[in-house]
Amino acid sequence: MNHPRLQLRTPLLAVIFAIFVLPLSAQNFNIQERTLKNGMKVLVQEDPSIPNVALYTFFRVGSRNEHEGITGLSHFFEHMMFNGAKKYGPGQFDKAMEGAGGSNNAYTSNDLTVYQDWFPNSDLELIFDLESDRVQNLAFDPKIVESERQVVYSERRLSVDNNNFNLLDEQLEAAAIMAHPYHWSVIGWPSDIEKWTLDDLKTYFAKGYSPSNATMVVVGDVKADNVFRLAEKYMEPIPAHDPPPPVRTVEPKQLGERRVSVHKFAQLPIVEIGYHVPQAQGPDYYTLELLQALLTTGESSRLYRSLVDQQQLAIRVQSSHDATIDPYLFTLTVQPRQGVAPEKAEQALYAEVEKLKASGVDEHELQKAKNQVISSYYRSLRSINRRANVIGRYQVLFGDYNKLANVEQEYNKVTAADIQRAAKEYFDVNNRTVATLIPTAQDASDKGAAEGKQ
Amino acid sequence: MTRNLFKMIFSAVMVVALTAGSKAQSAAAPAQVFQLPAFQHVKLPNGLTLLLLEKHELPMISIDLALRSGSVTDPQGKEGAASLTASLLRKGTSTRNSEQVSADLDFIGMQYDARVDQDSTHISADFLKKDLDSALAILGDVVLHPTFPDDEVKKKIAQQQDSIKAAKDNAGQVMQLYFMKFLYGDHPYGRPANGDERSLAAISRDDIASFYREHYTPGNAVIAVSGDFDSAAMQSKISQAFGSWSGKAPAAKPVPALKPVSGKRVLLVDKPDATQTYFMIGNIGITETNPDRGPISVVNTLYGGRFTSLFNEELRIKSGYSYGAFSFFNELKSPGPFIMYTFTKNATTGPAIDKSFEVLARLHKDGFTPEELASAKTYINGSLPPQYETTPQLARTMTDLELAGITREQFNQNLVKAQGTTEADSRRMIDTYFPNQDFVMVMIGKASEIQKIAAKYAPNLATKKISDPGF
Repeated sequence: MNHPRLQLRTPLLAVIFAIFVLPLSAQNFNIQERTLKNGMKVLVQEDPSIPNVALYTFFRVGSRNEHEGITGLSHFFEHMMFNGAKKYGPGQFDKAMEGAGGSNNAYTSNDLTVYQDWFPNSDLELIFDLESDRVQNLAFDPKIVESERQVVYSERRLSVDNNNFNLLDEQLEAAAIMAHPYHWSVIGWPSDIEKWTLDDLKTYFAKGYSPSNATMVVVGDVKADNVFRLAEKYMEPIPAHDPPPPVRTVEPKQLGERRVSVHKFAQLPIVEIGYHVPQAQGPDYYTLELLQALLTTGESSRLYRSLVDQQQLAIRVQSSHDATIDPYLFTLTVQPRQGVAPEKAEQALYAEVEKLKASGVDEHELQKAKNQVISSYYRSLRSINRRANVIGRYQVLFGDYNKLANVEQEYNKVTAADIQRAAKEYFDVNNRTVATLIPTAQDASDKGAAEGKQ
Repeated sequence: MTRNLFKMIFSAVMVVALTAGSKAQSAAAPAQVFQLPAFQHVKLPNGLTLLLLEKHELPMISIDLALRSGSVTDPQGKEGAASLTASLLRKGTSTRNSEQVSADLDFIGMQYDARVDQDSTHISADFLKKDLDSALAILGDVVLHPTFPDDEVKKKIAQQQDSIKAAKDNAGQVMQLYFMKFLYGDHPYGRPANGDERSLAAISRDDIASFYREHYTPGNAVIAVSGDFDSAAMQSKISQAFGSWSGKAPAAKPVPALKPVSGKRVLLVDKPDATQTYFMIGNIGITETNPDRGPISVVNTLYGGRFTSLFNEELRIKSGYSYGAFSFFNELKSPGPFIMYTFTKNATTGPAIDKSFEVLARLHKDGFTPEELASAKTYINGSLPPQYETTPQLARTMTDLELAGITREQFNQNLVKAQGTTEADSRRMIDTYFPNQDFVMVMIGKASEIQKIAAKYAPNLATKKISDPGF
């Protein structure tokens, strides 16, 4: 799950299906690249179709680089980077950018902290000045840290504590992933949000937020040479740091089904099922994307058709599969109709999954899934903002934006036999964790649901 | 809903877009005026209005088919009828059953959506250029030949009732529905566009079929198409797909204009599991054709329309009370609401509400300086091009303008007018359009912890439980 800095502001990118079927030939992407002396990579795609620019900076640091006691700190930095540096003091970063016609946001995932600037082409140098100031000279004013701590806890209340789907998802991840740092959610545990110290912040900043640990992507009405010149002027002088230490822990194989439940006031239950699956650069990434389309994309998808439409057991069913650095989860979420026992919806879901494992798919259905992901891929290219995100994620999560040129082939290679094999391999009872939200009545929760320390 | 907050602000703005052909070269000059590209306007013989805008960067096409009928035309006590009609179009036609429609549109990877707001219905389709014929066949079929099978009607109603209960499990999703009901009462804008648990139960297949007969006519419809096509060829394709459609526009039923309410009214909705209080403060605002909406957008940008706005600065940046604080005018045919929206943990509910009223008082007392106004104008101008960048955005913009009766020239003039906002204009906007002493406030939160606080803000506190039917 990504946690944007300002969720209410931009309809962004939270859902990236990472669909990279390449309909345009590689040279149509026409990306120019430069690596600065400090190790920072800059990728530029010139596109003058609107007089604006999207400048995204991807730092290869996310919640997987945290440990107990500082969970959520990457996300906290996502916020702190806006709170004042040397040349631009507290509040000045946003004031300068908005006053020049630009706007910004940022998001954090398990793997990355990403800063997004959107602005008229005339602001390019100002944006470099702002970005270099905060990367080089971020301030740590204790008063501002305390205030931002409250803001982040408010975001946690909004997006997790008072959002049943995300609350359940946090519990599912913590049960499914025991050892690897994907165990905790991106936003972090409440007690860590309340207690991380200034020293924790300074140490973490030095580890993760150096240009040497970043890739910058610029898409829009710019000239690449001009971008490179400004990158050399503003970013190159910032010294390289050592990258964050490698994440050593490998999640051990799951040996049997795990179940968790959440009892809270609600009108409708939710069931979420998670299966361990490989990372973005591992086997089966594209096969799993297609499995996702087969199961839940559109009203002709297998789970919608069976659970929502035909049996009328659920009001919705959805799935998620992210491109991640380390192995993560493929999840299926179903919200049962009122009066339908969660177990019944859960069993109906398994019945469909077993059917897929036993009989596979025919060519027509596989082609449908391919057409769905291909058209979604086109959609991900049609604004400079989304394209900057796609290019950057491909570079940092798949290792090389040039791999975009092979993606269509990768999808075309997937056969019906691959689909069936992957379904059998991953959708196994011993590989799954099931989380259920069980509604309690209004009276019961009046007593027990107070927020811990608040 | 939350995602739309800022979109609403921007549609209120409707500033400049794209001078076709002449790209901004300047690095230093003031922001080049960005003008909405010219689009073609055609009236077909059956009364259907067709709007066409070519855009060739990607091999995709987006269609927005809009009707001048929205939820305000729902029969009393049958709120949700317009919305159900729209969502049932795909659930069976004279030649395809529900599953065939889904299979056909999924096979080409088409995105299809049908939804209803207060004043209009929008059916949208987004697909690859190579699938144009299939896409138009599906769209024509669901709009012209739906059969509304009885079992599908019953199923959809039951699903919709449960969806409303599910939405109430997340206060942010239903906040504005409670606010609209409490502000507008029995006025048509107070009625929920997707119905509620009770009104949906009162709707029959006959209600759906009769709503369809009256409102789904070419005289009541506008089709906007943007993307990779040739306009002449597209006009002939649309004429083929929709040429057999017939019928006049229904008699217009104008919605009465409400004046801002006087006094102070507060509603508390009890959500016993809430660890934070969500609240909206506001009053009646403006219409979508208000001549002042350009200068209003400049003032609202500074007040609660961007990150560095007064409201967000006080509630988030300075105090840490909230993750975000926003204000917006929801512009409708008849005056829509002005809303301030934020949320805070239970323990800071009182201070955060006090701070919100303090900010409102400061707006009236201090207004904004010429420097602040200049910053807002630049911000608005710079944010516009990405709002009119993609084909779905452009198709929707064209139907919105057509339904509001705003020409492209007026749209552009309004942008120029926003850029000319003076300090005196901003003072007049504040005095005229922003609430001061009179307001409506709706809070959703844990009553056992915040009821005493809520009672301080109005002589008579109204209360509800989130699990009570309706809003």
